[in-house]
Amino acid sequence: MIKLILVSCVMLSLAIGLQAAPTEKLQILIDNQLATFSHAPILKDGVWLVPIEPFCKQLGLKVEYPDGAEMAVICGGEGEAEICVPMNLGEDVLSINKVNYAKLESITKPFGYAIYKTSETQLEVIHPKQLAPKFTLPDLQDNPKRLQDFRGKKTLLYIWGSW
Amino acid sequence: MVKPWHDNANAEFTTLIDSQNILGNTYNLKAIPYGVMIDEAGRLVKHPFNINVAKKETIKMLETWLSDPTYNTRLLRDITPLKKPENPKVIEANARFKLGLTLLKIGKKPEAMIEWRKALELDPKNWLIHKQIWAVEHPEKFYDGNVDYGWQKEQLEAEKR
Repeated sequence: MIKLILVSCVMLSLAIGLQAAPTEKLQILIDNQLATFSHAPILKDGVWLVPIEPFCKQLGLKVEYPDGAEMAVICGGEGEAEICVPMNLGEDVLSINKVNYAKLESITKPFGYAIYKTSETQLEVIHPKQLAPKFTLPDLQDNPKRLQDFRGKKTLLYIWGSW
Repeated sequence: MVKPWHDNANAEFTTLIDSQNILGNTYNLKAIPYGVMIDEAGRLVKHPFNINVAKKETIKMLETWLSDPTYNTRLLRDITPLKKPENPKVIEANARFKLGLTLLKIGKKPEAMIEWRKALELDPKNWLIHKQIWAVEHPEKFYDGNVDYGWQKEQLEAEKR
């Protein structure tokens, strides 16, 4: 009986320990530097949510809330390449603890940023200017291959000819 | 044309065919072979560089890149944005070279040669164009067994005269 209670206690303490284990802090790297935000990113159902204003500020993007419109507008880019992306409040933008959050990719993708997952709890946001130019070329079996297909591996392009 | 080379080398890497000089245009190449280094995140970490895998230094540099993450960080810190050609003659030469490749593909060899010759006049130091002309004019020196590099050297000397 004592043994059983002891085993139960051990199991209970293990269960409590598991419940109490703090979630590992989510990290975002921008320009090779660890970005800090006033409110932490959130991982919900495998989707990264970021606090809109501080995240956009780090990327040099502007966030505006037009009067009377239930939306946030994120603008960025240089000169003629400037674009603005509308996001509906309540749908694309979620208020969590009175802070506006949005899916990280819904902000980065329209502006050409790439996302590289370095671990389950760390992402790297890559500026489009840093990315190698995209291309698609056929392999020896005539299957199209994109440069992006090699992401996750260091890639050496060895450009040669049979001349 | 490329497959025998790939097979003879027992290559385990992926080989892609660039029949339209897409990489030459993208990276503004005027000769080959060249190497370009891209990291796991898809960032360009080293601009096109003369590559010779027979050289120990090249292999050592590539091994360091694979094994030492700080080397990649250093390369990233030092890299400058990729520049596009600004010289109008070079831009026109690239366009004519590409047009010639398309013309050759659809069986218009004489028209292709005209475009390439114009391209070479505009960008005389572009060896990709130079070799393309030679390879089409004298396929026996390129595709019939080993490439005849001695012939290329003689050809070059003859053209200088």
